[in-house]
Amino acid sequence: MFRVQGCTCRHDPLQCIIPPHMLRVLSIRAGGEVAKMARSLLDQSEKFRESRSEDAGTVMVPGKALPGAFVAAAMSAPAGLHDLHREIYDGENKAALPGKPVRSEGSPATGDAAVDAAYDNAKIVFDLYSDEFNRNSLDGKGLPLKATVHHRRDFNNAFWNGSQMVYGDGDGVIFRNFLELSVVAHEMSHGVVGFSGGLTYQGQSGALNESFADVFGALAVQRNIGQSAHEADWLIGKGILGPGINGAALRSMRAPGTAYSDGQLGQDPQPYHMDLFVNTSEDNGGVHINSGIPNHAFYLFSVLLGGNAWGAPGHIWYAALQSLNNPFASFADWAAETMEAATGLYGVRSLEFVFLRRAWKLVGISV
Amino acid sequence: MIVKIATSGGFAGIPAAGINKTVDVSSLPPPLQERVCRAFEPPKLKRLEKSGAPDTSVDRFNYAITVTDDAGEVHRYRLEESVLPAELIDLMDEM
Repeated sequence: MFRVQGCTCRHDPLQCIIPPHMLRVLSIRAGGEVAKMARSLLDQSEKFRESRSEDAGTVMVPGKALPGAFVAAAMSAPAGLHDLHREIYDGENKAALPGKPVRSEGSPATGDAAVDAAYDNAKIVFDLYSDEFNRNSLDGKGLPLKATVHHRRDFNNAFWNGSQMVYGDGDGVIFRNFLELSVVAHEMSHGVVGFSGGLTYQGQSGALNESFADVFGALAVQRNIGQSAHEADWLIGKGILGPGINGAALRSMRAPGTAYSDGQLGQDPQPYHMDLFVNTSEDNGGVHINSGIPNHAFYLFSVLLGGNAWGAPGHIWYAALQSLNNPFASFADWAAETMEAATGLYGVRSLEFVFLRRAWKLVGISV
Repeated sequence: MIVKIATSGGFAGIPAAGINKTVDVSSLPPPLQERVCRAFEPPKLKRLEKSGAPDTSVDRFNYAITVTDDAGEVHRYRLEESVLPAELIDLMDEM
């Protein structure tokens, strides 16, 4: 408790007002009592950050590279062996989760295409995060990868329920299945978002959650087949639409709004620019619609830069998520965070910095 | 009693991919009729609607359920899939 000018409050107002970088300057340059006060406040500030980190569980921790900054726990974990442990369950067309265990780590293929695709694709995604981003599973701490297939009857959906992946079989008319690699990587990446501080599933922050999942869905596919940004098709859910549906995929990062055009499904509603942002109360405020804008920014950046999208672009997006610490982030907040990440990783006058700013501008977001 | 179930959201975010069904409960076989009437009692759905705990799931469906009772009164509920018991979801699939 601190008492300042007759007020009693839990936080020292100076601590709330003076940012840590100013306190550090004061502690070095000011003299006497002011420097002493600054050092004292810095000590308190450090203790407060540690306490905040403990309060928040193990998701956000003080970063080492930038004093005063927070990063997700997985970002500060040392490199080392990562534990792949898969558990696949058969939902037997019912809703109860997780269902009947049918395949675990190291056991042979079952012959059930859905079970084996869930098992194989989970490893490809695990390897992407482990090899490229030094992340030990979805939580950064070796979380077993649980997935249920054959969920419900003719179920046209796949989702992340906060602790596992769940895949329906599709009705065979609108959807064939949900076990294509970009879909599996999409759902697993929702887990990564959740364990990295989270992005509230509503409006722009929800669309960013969706976009991060699409970006890493695309990266899992491209890395698996060794495709550069120029060679890739940038489709999410390629081949999962039903045989009579006029469409190539569910979403296109290269050309949002063009993935399908069909009598039953309608026209792909995704925008590629802020001028076309869709205001709606459906779909948690259009999280699967407006994700087209940050999706397209990532595509443009990757193509402008060239090479593999899981290289610099992927690293910038991943680092931005780990340091964001703002579950209600807007598109502009996220764009600024990616610029920070690009600066930290590659420098302020780097090609990465310049092309990233250009990509955001091309989708109508100035940074 | 008439039960209307419509979803939004989901991985695709496409209304056509979701569930959209209207069931006249009197047209169902008697054993199923009884189960549906019990499961879709307005007070039960009201309780579920109010039970929304912080939800960490994503890409799940949101449900709009409309129950028109035998007196003609219309009851509307908006429910997240995460609050629906597995038995109720199975029943929706069976209807």
